[in-house]
Amino acid sequence: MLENITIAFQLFATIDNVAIVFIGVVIGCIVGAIPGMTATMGVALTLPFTFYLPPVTGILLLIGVYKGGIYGGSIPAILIKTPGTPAAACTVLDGFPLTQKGQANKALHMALYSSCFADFMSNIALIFFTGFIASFALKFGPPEFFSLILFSLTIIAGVAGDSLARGLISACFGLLLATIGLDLIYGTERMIFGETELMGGVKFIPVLIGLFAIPEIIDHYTKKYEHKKRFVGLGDEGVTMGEWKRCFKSVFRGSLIGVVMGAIPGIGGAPSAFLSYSEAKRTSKVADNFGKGELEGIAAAESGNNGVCGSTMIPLLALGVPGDVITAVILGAFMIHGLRPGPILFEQNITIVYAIFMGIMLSSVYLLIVGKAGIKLFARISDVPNSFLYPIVLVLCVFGAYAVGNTMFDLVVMIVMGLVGYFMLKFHIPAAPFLIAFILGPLLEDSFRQSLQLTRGDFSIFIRNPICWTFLSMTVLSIYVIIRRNIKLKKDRDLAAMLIE
Amino acid sequence: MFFARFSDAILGAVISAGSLLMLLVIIPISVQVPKSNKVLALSPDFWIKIIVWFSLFIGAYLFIQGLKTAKEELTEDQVAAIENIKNHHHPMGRSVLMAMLAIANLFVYYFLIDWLGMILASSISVVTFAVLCGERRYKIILPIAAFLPTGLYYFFLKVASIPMPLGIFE
Repeated sequence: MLENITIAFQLFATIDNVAIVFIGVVIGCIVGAIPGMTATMGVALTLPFTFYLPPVTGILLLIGVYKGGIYGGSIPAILIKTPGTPAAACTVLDGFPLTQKGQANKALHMALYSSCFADFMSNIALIFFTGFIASFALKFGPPEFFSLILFSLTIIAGVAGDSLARGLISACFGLLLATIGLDLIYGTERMIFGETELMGGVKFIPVLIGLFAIPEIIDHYTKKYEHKKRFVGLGDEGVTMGEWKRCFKSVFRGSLIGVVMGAIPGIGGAPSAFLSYSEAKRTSKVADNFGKGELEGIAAAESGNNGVCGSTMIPLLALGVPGDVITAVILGAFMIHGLRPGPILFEQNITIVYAIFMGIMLSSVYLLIVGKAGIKLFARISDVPNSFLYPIVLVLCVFGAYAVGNTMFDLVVMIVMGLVGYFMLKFHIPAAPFLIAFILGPLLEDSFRQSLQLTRGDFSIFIRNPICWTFLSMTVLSIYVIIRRNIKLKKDRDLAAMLIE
Repeated sequence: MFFARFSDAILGAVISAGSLLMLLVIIPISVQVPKSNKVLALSPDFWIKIIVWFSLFIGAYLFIQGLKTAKEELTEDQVAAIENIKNHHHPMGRSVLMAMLAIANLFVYYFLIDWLGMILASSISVVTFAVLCGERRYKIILPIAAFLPTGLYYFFLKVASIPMPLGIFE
């Protein structure tokens, strides 16, 4: 093990890697600070720039953007009441009232310290648990992977938003798109309509960019032009040691909540932040101040959403299944670099895993440095008008999509996916289930057909051992819980409507 | 209001119709199934059919639910969402026109890349898109239009060794 760590350190400790994590965190903070740009979009736009990089360097760049993006989302949430990322929605509750009181600087610093602490805790959890889970997953064969991926698909319920039916439609689109190309067993054509470029399947990056960036650009043109200067100033007050001590309990609790909720696929940063916030409010001595500009509220929200950053990587690295949409993009990045996360990665490329762990730890340190040094700059960025931003994003999209395979066909795919994404946006169909299904679809189909090949079509292989049983039972249980929750929500709505009448 | 009220039903109908089209026309003509295949579950079209059947089921469910809920009064949340859209978006007709213009611009951008190359096409598109957005601060737009595509071109060419098309300047 020590030898592997030494090799991993040599792999990691290059100027390129140390610098790229820094660059990633800076890009992430900038992207997160811009309202309308999500961390997912940031990671998607950065992905094409990693092609020429070695795998570890490329992955670390994306992880840096991810972590910076989640923290950066708190900046416009505090300053202009517009969360930069959905995970920062809870930070608005106490962040903006503090800005109105002229204490934006204090709020931003508390957000930064809480984020860094939670991020660090999350990284520790990642390092301790991933190897353990991966060693267990080494026993998996195709049927076990099938049941695991089937269970992972239930995360779609977590990212489906208000309507589960719409989320499932989105997932069907993604699964269907993933079937295009040559059949893996027989080598026959599937829905390629004679287009040779589609024989290898639809490429991931044009789909990703088309789905997440182009619809936002098109939709921006349907909005009225408005640009008022919203940023008022930061104030001078920072966070005192006494204030940090007072909030530490909430930060610690929020970090733990983030770690646990991040490790469960499909939950993500926003619910974690709200749970952390409500727990802090429930136990706080100053509960009445929550929502009126309470520093502890920011600490709880930010530790909750940043606590998921490291732990969402646990299922990704250990099992090869993404915990949320950003880790789905990072999974795609691993595949582009010829790596398949999961137990096999631990068996064959353990040094790469250790090197990534080192980079992840460094990213927490950089987050603190970059966040502290750049607060004033990021605060200004949050006021950049979208009329400048979207043309820039469009050019990045086009260069990125073209760079995938040096072919204009990828631009066509990007534009077509942009139109599909716009249709989905208008009909309130979430894009995240599409992407997760698009990535997991081929893995699911391959493991399904490999299993049936082993038994010449006998389905009993899918219940051959307790691992399969466990995952299938968990899938059934998840579906039951999801359906029950939806029925309850509908009943609550009907009851509320009746009471209003 | 009509769209908000019937959006579930419309979406359900579109998805159901699309799924039926897939099952009856697209899959039979575009998925080759080898005659040697003896196991139904290993057939190249088996997985695709499962997905499409599932989407047909969801589409039908959404259509029926949509027709049911269309008769009900809009909830406060739905009314608030419609008001929010009204406040921040152009009126319906202009919104559609602007979206069509943006989509047309995307295709123009694509064809310009083929003709004028990546740099010039991108520069023109930055200006066009910004102006279409209502932006008139040319002192900011023009430098972005000049330096961003050029910088990206040289990044991909020199650092990543990926040549970008130069169109007629090739």
